[in-house]
Amino acid sequence: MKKIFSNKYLLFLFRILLSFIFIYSGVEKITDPAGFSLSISNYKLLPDFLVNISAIILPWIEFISGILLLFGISVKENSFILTALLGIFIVAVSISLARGLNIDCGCFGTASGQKVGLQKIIENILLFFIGILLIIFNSDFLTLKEK
Amino acid sequence: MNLNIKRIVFLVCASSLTGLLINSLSPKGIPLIKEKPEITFANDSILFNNNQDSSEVSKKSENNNRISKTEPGNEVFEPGKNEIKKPLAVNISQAYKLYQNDVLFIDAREAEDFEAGHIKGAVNMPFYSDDYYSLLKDIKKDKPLVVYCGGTECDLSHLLANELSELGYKNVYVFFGGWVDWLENDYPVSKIK
Repeated sequence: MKKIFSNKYLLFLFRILLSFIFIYSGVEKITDPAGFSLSISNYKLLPDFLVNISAIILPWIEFISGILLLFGISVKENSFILTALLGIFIVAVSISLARGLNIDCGCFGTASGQKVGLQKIIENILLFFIGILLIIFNSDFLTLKEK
Repeated sequence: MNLNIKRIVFLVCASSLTGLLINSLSPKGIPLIKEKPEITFANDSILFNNNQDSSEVSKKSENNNRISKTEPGNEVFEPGKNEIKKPLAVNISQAYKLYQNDVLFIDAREAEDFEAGHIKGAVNMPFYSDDYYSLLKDIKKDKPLVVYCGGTECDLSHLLANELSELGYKNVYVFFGGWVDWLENDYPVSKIK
């Protein structure tokens, strides 16, 4: 099992996948902060005064970690950050599902139309797992490193 | 699992600061603390007296006469002349009286919610789509309009009402209780089959 998951090409693929998803997600949210703020409020999890700050900061964490991950810079650390975010998202979506909230997940900005649901949770769990692999095994195939 | 914690903290902080900086510089930036929409209820005398418009009484009322009639999307910004009036709110009984007076109700929710059930006679203008501009061409700027959405938790009615005010509609009201209150009172509804 370990041999499969520690294959450098697979890890590279995982790294690219995770980075693209988060770069895209970050950009979509950066371009519509008001919309993302609305998505966060819909979850009714954060107190009002934290909603906007989260809407401002989160997309940039996604975007910058995504870009650095793409270029193989601090792979473990950036994977940790993105995996931690995924963990938060999984909890948030699960709570909303349990409460029966039929809201837009806000995953890729408001216009994406993706609803909170089991599918979203499963997708996030898979990505979470990919993130964990990258933290454990790293990925230094094709990276931007100073010689 | 040798993770450099310092680097993680640095990355999160650097990203956060970048976000805050860009937000403060960007025209699309949002305030750090979310502003709660102020709800001022219209009083009955304003609502049911055809000669007054819905805005809060403005000290610069002489400017009201100089607001130019513009089409949606073709605003000319004239400082001091275009007063953006904050739409006032109406409660369920006021909304019902307005309904009985044949005032136009606007549903700010998405099309699928509208189709599932809406206030009888209401027109759908989903806040998140741009299609409704064509509907607005037939509506005169001084026509009284009542905007509603899902209820007190829903922001769409405020957002749409504000936008209509900014487009120059002078008699926009937000029906705060929305669809939920209307249903509770068993008032007339219709749905698209």
